[in-house]
Amino acid sequence: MNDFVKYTLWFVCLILLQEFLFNNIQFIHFLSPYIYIFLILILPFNMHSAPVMFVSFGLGLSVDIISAGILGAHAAACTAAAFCRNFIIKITIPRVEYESMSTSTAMQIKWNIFLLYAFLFVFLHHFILFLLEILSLDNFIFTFARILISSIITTVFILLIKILFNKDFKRNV
Amino acid sequence: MVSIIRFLLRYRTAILFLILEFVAAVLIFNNSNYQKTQFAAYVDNIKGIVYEKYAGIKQYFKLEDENKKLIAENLELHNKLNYYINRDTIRSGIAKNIVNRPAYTYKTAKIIRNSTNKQQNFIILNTGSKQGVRPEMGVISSDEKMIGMIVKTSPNYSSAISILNTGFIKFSGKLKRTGNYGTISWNGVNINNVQLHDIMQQSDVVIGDTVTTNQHSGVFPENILIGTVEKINIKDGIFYEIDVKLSQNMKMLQNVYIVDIHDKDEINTLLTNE
Repeated sequence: MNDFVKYTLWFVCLILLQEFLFNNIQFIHFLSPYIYIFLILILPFNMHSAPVMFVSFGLGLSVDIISAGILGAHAAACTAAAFCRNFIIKITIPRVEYESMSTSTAMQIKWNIFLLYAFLFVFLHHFILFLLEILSLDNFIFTFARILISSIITTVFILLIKILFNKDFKRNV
Repeated sequence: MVSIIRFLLRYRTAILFLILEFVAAVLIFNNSNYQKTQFAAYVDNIKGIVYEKYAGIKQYFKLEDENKKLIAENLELHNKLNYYINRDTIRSGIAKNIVNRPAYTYKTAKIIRNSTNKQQNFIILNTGSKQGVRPEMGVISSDEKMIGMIVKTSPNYSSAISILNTGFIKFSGKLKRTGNYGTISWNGVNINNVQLHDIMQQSDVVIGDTVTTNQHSGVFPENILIGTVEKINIKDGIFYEIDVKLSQNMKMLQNVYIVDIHDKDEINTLLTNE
């Protein structure tokens, strides 16, 4: 399968999954996992920041439009997270991993390394998103707790997705 | 040109990031009322804080002057109080059927912004509708000289039109000695002078006469000092145009009173029914 087609499929599937499954899951009313950012995580390591940001912006905007929340909030959070992606990759993933030709995406790295990378990324995204939604620093501890717990839940789901689809990637790359 | 392009290329990621975030921000603030009002509230709050801090610093350097003024004012009030206490004991027997409540009360306020350098000058005060300030209330200085009138209020702040405002001719004044009254306005030339119009040319006016507010305005109590007659200009027609030297230095304002005339609406309904 061609890379472009593969990522487009992921794009559509993740948005649909987000809207029709995860947006309806509410553990406690204020916790919401946003698993769609899995797409940004698995974009190739050697992809430049600019295209990553474009894809992220489009992804966030699509989720905004479909979920009918605050138009632009997901787009802003995704773009910001994408902007920091390269930095997060550098500090969490060993150099040999992302510079070797055999591992071109985060799909192929070990789950324990992936976990830290994913969590930092998810946390950054959720932090921006939740603050944009509330736009107030009143009750910051509560907001921070929401961000932290939601990030953990999202990370767990993202890890599950990675483990489920690992084989698929190994076969195709 | 080349270096600009090089710069743009070098920081293309950051620039793209800023552009995308800007687009997202525009979307957010154009489409969501909550975000919009929350953002506007933040901006207003920050503006209020900055102005208030600035006014606080300015006030600190003027403390000595203000103190002297307060002491003088206190002394005068004590004297007045003594006078009334004495008078009351004499008249207490017959005062029973007189309605015994004040015609107006003062609210204190602090000026957080004041301009004198424009043709349309406004004063921003740190008291607002939460404290009971309403438009059309008079503003006087802490030693009871006329300054302006409230025109707009927000919950915690209010804006007053200064007497130094060419767009406004609603103030009325009178010559204290003779009781002749006219309208007060400012021609925008000198910040120490305002003009008193509509005084007939036959009237008895001399330089040095005191000009005060009169009770017809419904904005100020009677006999609040405005200034003294400085120059009497003879114009075509039957009226004088009198230059009045302001008693209040409009640049030195800090603490003010807002005058709440009681029963103003009630009196106004009577006036319109006539």
